[in-house]
Amino acid sequence: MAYSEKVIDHYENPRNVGSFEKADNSVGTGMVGAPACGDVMKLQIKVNEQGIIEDAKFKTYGCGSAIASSSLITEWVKGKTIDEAQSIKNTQIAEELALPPVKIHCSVLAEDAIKAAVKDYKDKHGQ
Amino acid sequence: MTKAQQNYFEIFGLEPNFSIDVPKLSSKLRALLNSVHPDRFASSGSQQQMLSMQKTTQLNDAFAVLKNPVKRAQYLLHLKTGIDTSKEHTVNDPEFLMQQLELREELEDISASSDISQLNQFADKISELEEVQEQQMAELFLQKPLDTDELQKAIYKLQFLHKTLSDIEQAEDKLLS
Repeated sequence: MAYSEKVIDHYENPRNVGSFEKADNSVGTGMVGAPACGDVMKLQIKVNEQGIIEDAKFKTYGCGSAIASSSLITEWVKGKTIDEAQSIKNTQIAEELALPPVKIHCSVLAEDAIKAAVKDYKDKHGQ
Repeated sequence: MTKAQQNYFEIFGLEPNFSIDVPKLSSKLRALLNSVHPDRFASSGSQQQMLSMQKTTQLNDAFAVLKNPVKRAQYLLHLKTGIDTSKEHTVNDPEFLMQQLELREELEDISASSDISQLNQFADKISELEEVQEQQMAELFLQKPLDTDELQKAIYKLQFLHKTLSDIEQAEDKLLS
């Protein structure tokens, strides 16, 4: 299966790889996994007092499409409010990266990861 | 009267349980394959030959599922409850997934250091974790009634451990090549 150029670009030069301190109050952490392929994805957002995502980081163990999906979504969420970030759809990711049907679940995983990160942040702040 | 299709366990004359003696199953497979081998029916009619080929395929399919703990657990759960765990889905279990992420990080570090003895130690550690998980799976499948939530959890845990084991094998191949 051939990967699209965008997938290869994100795979070879992943943006925003790394971690924030999980216990930091301004950080929301999303941990999700896809059992069928064994992919594990950690996505973190750093949110300012206005509810804007200032920075995002990820660490993904999985295929090229999973890495590209998480790399792309960390780029997209920066500067967005947490609610805007939460409304990103996997189909937007799949379209941007031109993912083939068998790799759609990688974009679903990235969507689920950002949702989990926002939820973690909201839970921390009693929202 | 046509006989209902046998399930994979019945094909091997087994009760549908998670615990399986794989070496024993493997010798049984050889015996059964031998008894239906197409060569035995070389002089028989084409229908008989077709049947023998179907039987061979069926035996190989059944064995491929039963020898693999993840596939066996998924098959057994489906057989007993109709629940299908083979579809793509997302798991949200932060504590367990964080542990898996750390294991992958550890593997990444070991691979980078090209230390084969460390890699072997790591492989032993994961195999132990997998054995514990398989033990738990066997116990869960013996419960009555079945705790389907716990079983589904146990299956995905086994899937992630299995993935780490196959990553270890790949790392070994790379180091040894």
